[in-house]
Amino acid sequence: MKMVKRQGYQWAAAICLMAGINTAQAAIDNGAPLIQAGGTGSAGELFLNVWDQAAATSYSIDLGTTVGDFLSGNLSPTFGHLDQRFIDWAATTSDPLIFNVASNNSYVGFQDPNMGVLLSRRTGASDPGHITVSTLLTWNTRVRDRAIALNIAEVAQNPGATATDYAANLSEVTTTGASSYFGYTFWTKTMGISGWDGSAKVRSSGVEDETLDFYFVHSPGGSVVASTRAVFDKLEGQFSLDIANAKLVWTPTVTAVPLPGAVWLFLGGLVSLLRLQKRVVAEV
Amino acid sequence: MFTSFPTRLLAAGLMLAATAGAWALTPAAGAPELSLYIPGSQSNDPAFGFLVGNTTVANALCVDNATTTGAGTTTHIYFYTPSTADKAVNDQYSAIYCNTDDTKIPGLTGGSGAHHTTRLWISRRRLGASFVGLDAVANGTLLTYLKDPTAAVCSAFNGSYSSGGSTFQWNYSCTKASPGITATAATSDVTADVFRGVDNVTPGFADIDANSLNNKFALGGHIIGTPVTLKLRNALQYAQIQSGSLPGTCTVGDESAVCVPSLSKEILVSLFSGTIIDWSTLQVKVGGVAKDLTQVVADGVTAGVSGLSNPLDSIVHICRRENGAGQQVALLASVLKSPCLGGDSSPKLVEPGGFNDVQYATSLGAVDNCLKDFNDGTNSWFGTTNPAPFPNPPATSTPHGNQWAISIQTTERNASRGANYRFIKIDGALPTGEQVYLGHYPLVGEYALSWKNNVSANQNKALLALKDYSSLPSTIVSRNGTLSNHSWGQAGYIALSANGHTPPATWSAANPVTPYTRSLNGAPDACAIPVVNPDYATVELR
Repeated sequence: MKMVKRQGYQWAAAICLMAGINTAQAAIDNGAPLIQAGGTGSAGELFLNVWDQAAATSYSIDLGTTVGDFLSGNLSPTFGHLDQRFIDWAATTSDPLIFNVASNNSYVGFQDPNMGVLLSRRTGASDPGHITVSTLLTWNTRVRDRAIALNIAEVAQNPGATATDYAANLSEVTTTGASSYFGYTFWTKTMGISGWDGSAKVRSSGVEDETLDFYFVHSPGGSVVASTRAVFDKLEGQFSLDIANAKLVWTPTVTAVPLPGAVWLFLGGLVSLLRLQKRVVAEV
Repeated sequence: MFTSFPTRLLAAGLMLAATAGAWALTPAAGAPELSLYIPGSQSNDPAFGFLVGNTTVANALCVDNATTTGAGTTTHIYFYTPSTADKAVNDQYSAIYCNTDDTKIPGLTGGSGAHHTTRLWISRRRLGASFVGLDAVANGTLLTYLKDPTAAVCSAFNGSYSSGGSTFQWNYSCTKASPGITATAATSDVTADVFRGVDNVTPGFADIDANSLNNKFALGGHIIGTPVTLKLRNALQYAQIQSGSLPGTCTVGDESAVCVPSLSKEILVSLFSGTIIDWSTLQVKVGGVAKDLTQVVADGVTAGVSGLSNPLDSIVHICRRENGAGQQVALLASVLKSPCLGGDSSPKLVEPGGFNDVQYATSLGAVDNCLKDFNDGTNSWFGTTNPAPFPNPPATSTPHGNQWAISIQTTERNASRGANYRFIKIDGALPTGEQVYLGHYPLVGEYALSWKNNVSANQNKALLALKDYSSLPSTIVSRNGTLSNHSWGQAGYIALSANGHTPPATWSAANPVTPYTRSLNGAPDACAIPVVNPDYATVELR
């Protein structure tokens, strides 16, 4: 596992240059290569899920940002701003609330390093284990399936919307029995992935709110075979849920950026060159 | 001058013949007095009275059986054709127009005569298979059907066509399907409770809420198979002969029961969930040495064993069905236990984009052709198109043939071995009624009839009569004919003790009732692991 700086750093630059990352669409793009309404493969979008387990209701919203945009730090000023439906829903909820964030980006194919999933993981949870790219493909489908279920609910709850409607970032509130419900058997706190500690708890009886780390689990790219290990990149930042202000907040972790070895070598060489030049001049 | 008696008899006969048309129900006979629009799987089609192999094997509601000529009966069969009359088929829309009465539908009201004789229109729609049918009933989705004998624009044409070893006959070819019709009931390969989760739901649709269906009945057990391409069957057969899993007396190509190769349930789960992507994963101990399946076959080819050939590649090729196709739903529920286990414990069904080769075959015929093309290198399915949003089959230019593929298919097909694929055993058990009865064979879908209480009183009575008739062991026996009579045994269907039929103490093909039930709590549950029905409490130990 490696740490990846989200904004302005090497990984982001590389991501920006990589092919196959589209700009955001407004409704949830499930990021899969096939079988999605309205297209046959484009960049997946992030979505937020919040659960009032006690009252058996949940809220979800399309965050309107693609995997590529998020990784490159290309976030709109309103990223994470939740809608009136959230405000209305949150006002009726009981404590605590549980939330997670995800996105799928499998449409590029497993030979591409952009093929992967963005998954939240509770801050403080143990480091995830290793998986193969073959297993990663099943993780992709879990997240994709969640996006599909949310889109179905969005259509039902937003008059005039269709499964191919990308005109607005849609949200929905659902309850038990619906496949878009947070507690639906294929999602819940594990995000449908066995053993994945993917959710954080907030507004929990005086206990400090939990936050979420964010992982990009992806193919290493290139000559990948089924047994090739997937790459776990822990992004530098954390998600928190600000219920009072109806915001999902991404807080980048700002740390000093170490200069790469090549820069030190370059500077060292430059100094040496200047000294040598001085010496040569002296000899003349 | 009086004519002779034989002459008068002949004249009377001619007059009778001339009036016979007035008895028969044709598009000119008047509008239906009772209509049933039933979308969904074909699993219960024979019980409606359709002709299969020139014969009516069962007939729940019509007073008469249909005939291949359309003569001498009030019952006629209608198939839809998008082109000429001779091209009609039943894989989209079909119908039966017949007389029914209260001897067929107890309590029927209206109609004419002492038995309330009533013109009945049974309109079937197979397009979209099980899920689409259930969605139409559960969620009120309006669909397209042959609306009635007149609106369907039908012309008399006695035709016959073959598919999957079966021949189907019809009397009228119809060219118009009408949209916006409400379903009366749905037929499905599996009970409605398991049509949930993305794998079991048509893309873009919500789960089926089985609780919204007031009436849901499992009619019988449909024995479903996991067919493999012929060359893969031969490879598995040879490997298992070499390892001693099959008798040494078996030879490659032997079609007898004892020589049918087997895969374990766990291996099948691994194949269909994508954790086995290459056939070389399968290891075989030959003479104390472990070899992979391809090596064993290569050795056999070198030794000149007839029926073996080295495959074009060793990738696992899968002809899967579209999401929501009932037989695939049955595989998921019975073998993969999905979505039954729930959450992250339920395996996902393979999809394209991985390291194996996953293709969509979106009908029973497409499964036949997908397997055939992978085996033979033909282009019956390669180069064709699938309905959106499912990806199309590969282009004909894609190298193919002599590849090892597996799929899901009703055991009612290919008993004649006309297509180059074969069914295999699961955990050593053949897909026969006997092995289901014994509790050995796991892949059985309880095909069902479901409807809401918003139908008319006569429709409800007709559906109840259809349900009762379809569930009878005698009806099931009549269906288990040559279509599902394979070289290794009788497959097809089995009656359910949960429907009140007493299972025999030991297996009887004449009374095929399973002592196991998935309806322990009074309602069908496709996710339930079958247990001995406590109402009868006998089971054969074998």
